[in-house]
Amino acid sequence: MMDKFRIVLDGIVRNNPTFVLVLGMCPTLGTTTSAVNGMGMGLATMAVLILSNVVISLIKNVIPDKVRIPAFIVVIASFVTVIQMLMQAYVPALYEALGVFIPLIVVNCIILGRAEAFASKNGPLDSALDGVGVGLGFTAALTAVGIVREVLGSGAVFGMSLGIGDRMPLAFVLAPGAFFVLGYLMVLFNKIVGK
Amino acid sequence: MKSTLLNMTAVLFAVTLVASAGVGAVHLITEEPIARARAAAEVEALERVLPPFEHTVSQELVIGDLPVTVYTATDGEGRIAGYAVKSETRRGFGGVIRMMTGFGPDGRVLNVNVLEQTETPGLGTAMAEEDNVLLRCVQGRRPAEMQLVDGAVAVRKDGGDVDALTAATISSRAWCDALNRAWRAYEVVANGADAATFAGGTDASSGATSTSSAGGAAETDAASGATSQADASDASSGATSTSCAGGAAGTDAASGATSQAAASDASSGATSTSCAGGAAGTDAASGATSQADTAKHGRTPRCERSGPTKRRAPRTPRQGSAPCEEDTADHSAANEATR
Amino acid sequence: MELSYFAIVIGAVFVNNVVLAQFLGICPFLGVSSKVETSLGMGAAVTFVMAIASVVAWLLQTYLLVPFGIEYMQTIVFILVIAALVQMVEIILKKVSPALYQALGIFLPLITTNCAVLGVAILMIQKEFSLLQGVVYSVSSALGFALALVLFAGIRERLDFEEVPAAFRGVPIALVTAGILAMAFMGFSGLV
Repeated sequence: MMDKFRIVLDGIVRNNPTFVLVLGMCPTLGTTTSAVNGMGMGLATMAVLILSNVVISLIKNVIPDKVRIPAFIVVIASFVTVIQMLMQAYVPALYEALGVFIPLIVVNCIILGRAEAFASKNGPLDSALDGVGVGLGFTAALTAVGIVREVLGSGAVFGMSLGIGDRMPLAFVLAPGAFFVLGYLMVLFNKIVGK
Repeated sequence: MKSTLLNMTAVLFAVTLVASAGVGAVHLITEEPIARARAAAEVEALERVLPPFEHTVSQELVIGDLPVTVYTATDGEGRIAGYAVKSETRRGFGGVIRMMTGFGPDGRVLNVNVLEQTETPGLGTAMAEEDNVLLRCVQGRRPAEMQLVDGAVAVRKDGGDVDALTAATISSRAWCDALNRAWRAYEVVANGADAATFAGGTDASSGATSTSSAGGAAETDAASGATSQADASDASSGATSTSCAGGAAGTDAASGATSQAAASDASSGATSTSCAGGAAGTDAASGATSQADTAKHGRTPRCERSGPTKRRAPRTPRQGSAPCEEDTADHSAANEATR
Repeated sequence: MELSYFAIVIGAVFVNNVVLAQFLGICPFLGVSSKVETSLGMGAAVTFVMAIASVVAWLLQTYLLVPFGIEYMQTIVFILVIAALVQMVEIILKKVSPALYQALGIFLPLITTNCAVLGVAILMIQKEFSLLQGVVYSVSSALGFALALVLFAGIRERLDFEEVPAAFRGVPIALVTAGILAMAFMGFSGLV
């Protein structure tokens, strides 16, 4: 039981996709203009990750080695499309806010990376747990970046104004701020984890 | 499984087939909720630009090669509450821009809501915000009474009186283009104008027909309307030159010179920020409704310097303001006066 | 008067630079940009793939997905097209320029997962560009990507000689540098 828990924990800390593996940078920078968007993106990615990890783990033995990657891509793309449609139907506001980054989940290196590194070598339950762990790590990272950018750039958090004025440096919700916040958060993470 | 050609193609084919089937199934399931969400968004878009209404009747038109949809809204008693027009333009800096414009029964622009745009964040995207400078310059006014260039609403750089967004001239021009198409569609539905003669605003031949569509609005006198486009500095007693008020002031030959006076009343001398003042001072004939329009918005509208605006923060009235015109000499003087 | 091609080019290369403003293609941006030569090679490969991919994507969208009402298959179809194209480029490059093929190494197949290629194809459809506008848009975006990559490589080559604090070494300092570069590109905003 402990080693199952360890799989999840590893995904959040030791193999944190954003701060350690440095994967999935595009959505990390592009969707974190607010905490809600960051969290939404993280959860959507986690959903795709868990589903694709499980399916790939189940079919890994019937896929010829040479067409491994294209087959994985088809599986991942299908789940991304499914999540896309579900979001469009049930959370249209978030769907609009995340825009082009939702279909881009399919090329998120995290998903293909975990499929290659874990799901193609482990059973479905472990793969699902890995998806949960890495997904939670990703969501946590995105939410953290989103919170910082939203507080510094819009004076609000999760949409609720903090009342610290509405003349915040716009740079934080624009491009440069994304890079800076992520860079510094990465340093912070390294310090905490003990580099 | 071994990587023979047969195995590889068979497996890939099978995987793609199963995947497509799965996706297709989910599509069937989500088709209805998606349609419902879209319909709800459509209703919300209508509600944002129209006064309270009960029913709408929609008409599809083609204005200048692009589709336009006009929704005629009626209230509970069958009176026309307003017209909402969904128009689009291809001239956006980032591609297509779609917007919903609300016209009152008298032809006044009630509100403009940008539905879709992919403009430059922080600059062109400002057009989608609640209180942007483009909207402020047309809200509450009749397009026919604005400073028109070849019969079309235009940005100040092109001779019109709509202030462009900072560093987003192309986006602003595109916004005006979509507004012009909406206006023309409104004229077609409300006043029976000719849809075929819309020529994108830069074509000389549309100049002639634009005066007739302005005439269709019954109050504006085209012949004297053109000449009475008074200079902004006349209307606003000199200090700064915001001509949002000036354009409206130059309206109505029929109700004559009183409109000029009204604009300067609204601006009361020192500062000229009177985009809303222009609307208030316009047309004696439809008097009451124009007051209602500005009153509806609750706060003192001020033309503010269009600096970079935030994406999501709700706009609160700012302390102090600056004139619409960015390069006026006494910008600082006007600022001092209003603080 | 449709949106002028000049505005599309300036917009895609400078004002809305695909990497520094739209955040597409960050992974290769951080991964490949340590040397200027590899950056140039990568930029050229991406431009080639993006140009062809966008044409094929536009044609498929217009003549297959929309008429049959299967727009929801867009993601799957586009990514398969891109994957196939990258395979083709790999084969061609191996024959035509083995040296470059070696230099790019692992990064060539990674063009498949380059968010920029898929992202630009999807955006082109979203903006409802015509075929010619779409091609101009994607080639310009690719050039913008190459530009950002080469600029960044130039900076990073020099950064190697500097004393960077331990916690910042590697990716964090690269991100901060990218942020400053992004700020510089924001200066292009008023260009058109």
